[in-house]
Amino acid sequence: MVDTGIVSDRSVYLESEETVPGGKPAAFHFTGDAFEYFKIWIVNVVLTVLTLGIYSAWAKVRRKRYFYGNTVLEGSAFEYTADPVTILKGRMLAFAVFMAYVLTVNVYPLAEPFLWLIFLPFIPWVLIKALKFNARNSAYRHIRFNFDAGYRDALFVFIIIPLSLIFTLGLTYPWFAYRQRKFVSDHHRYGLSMFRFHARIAEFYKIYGLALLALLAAGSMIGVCYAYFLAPVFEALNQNRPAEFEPLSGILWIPAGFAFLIYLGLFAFLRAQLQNLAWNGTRLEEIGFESRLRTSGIFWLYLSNSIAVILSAGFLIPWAQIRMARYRIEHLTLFSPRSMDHFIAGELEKAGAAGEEVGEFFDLDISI
Amino acid sequence: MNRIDGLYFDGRVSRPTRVQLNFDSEGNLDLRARDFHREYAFGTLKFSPRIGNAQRDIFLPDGGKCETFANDEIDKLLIENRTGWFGRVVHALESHFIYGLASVLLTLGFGWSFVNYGIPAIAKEVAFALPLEADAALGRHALDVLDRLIFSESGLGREERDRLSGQFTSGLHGFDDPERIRLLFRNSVSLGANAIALPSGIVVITDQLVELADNDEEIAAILAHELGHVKHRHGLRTVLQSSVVVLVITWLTGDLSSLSALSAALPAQMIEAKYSRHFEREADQFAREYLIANRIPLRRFSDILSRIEAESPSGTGSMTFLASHPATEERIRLFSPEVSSKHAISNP
Repeated sequence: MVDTGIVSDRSVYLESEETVPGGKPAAFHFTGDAFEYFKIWIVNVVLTVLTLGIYSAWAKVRRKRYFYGNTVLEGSAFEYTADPVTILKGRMLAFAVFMAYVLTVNVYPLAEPFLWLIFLPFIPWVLIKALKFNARNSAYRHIRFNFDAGYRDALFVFIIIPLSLIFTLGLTYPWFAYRQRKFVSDHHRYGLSMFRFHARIAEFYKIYGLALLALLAAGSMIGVCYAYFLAPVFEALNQNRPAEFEPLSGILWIPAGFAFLIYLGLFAFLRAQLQNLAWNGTRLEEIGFESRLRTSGIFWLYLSNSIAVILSAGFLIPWAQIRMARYRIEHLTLFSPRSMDHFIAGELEKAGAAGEEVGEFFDLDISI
Repeated sequence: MNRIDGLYFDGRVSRPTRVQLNFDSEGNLDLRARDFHREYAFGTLKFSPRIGNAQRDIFLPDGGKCETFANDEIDKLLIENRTGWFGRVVHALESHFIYGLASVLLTLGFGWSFVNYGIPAIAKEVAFALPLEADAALGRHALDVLDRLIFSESGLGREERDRLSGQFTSGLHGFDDPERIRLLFRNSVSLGANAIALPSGIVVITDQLVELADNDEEIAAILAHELGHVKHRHGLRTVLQSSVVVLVITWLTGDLSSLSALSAALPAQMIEAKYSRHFEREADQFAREYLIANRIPLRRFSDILSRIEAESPSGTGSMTFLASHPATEERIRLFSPEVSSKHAISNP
């Protein structure tokens, strides 16, 4: 598996291009506007605070409806149909679980590992519920998405594999990422049509391998930087002579800033490449997708967004979110050999909101 | 009356049909396409709420749906027929920038006072409404954990321990429930000269503190401060407050920003630090009253406090910062003789 890191860029690109089926391209468009969303966002914040969090369920629905309703494909936008009251009930349940956990841990601190043993088997169930809730409440052209997965699959992918990472020293992490993505994609449906994930595991190894190489290279560069240029600073520090240290302290920011840029760059690389891989490896029957995110594009967005958000004390968060959504959506294209008119709705069944809300509460990453 | 162009979907197949929606003055819908024509009463239609200029949906009673971007026309229709007030109020807020700004100020003020006064007041009410067993339950296991992690057996002689315990117990008169309060001795290199109050009423004093003290009155002053924590039930209140703070912040940021990981941890810590400062002041106040009641000079507390400060390892950056921290000066001032007791009490 390790030698997949040296597969050339070109060959993988050609392979993934071959797997994209022919057909008419249809681009995704994003019609959201930063100022328009700012006003929605600020009202969400205000009403959520004033109602001590109760409005947060409505806020969430309005936020998701805004992004869905402005994501347009072939003249139709996506729909988010969740009922805020259902979400609120889910949050109440999550609130109760969280309070019970906090109180128990404070009264019996030694019980914390046992509590996690009790929670652990519930995590796959919560994940399935959350994915199902989100899928069932997403629709396009009045046909709903759906998500169906068995408990044992989820247990294997989200609990057993992560635990096995301990024994493989994390070397099988790309395998975990692959299985996770495959689990999410393979169990989604649009109407009666199934999504399929056909990307190869080697492509995951290649992305993580490149990231690791870049990290090692950058790490040694920073090490050299510290050793040769910053020795006087450390000497002053070690001998506790602040007066000498003072004029040199500015230099410390150079490698720190450098490390931050590298961290951001790696993060951008992983986000862009993994998302491209996720979409390019997904098929909906004979329909293929192409995502063309660039590491440089994502890097610039992350950098400018974080600076803007920090300098504006958070008020540019909506602007940052809109820019990110626009970049991601506008770089996605769908290829279909025939028109999108033939998808048939599945049967209706309910999915409670508790799953998604419990999942969100404990900050599990369940983004699709 | 109102003629709107849109797309119709039957909900079974994803095929769009171009339609014309005609609403009469009562809001009843007349839906026309090239090959069909249907009518729906206004009461049977469900309109999705307006969100910016995102696509609007009209759900039909037969499971079909119409999509349109003609948001203004739909709004006019809903206003004329007096429905959908909730969505309209929210949308009105969302579309007027000045309301937005005004509500930001309102929210900041509300949020600030809720965190500063609301949460502590609620936690205090809840803590004092709970029986003392709640405090005891919190402290029972805490001692086991501390014994395992940072404490070892005390090296003090039997005689010295008995003397200090006796002095401690005799100072407890006036305490509501003296029988639940106990003094324990422990050695701790990592903690240094220090004392800890557990919510259950157990006060732990380190050998290092006993060594550092010039006389027993200084030890009494420190113990009085710890008793203040017990008396005001700070352990239970801290747990209650910090869980509410973490909860509120998780709730808000989890929903409203994509930067939750970054922003969630920081403010919670800052707010908790503020809470504990408030509790320290409350405990200091209790110590002050205790010293006056037991006729111990107030400067015993400031003396030992400044010695603990001096004793803590200096030289590293963080410690020099701590030494110049105004909080210590403020605390010492409370125990300096010039401050009249009236002033101190009115200034918690």
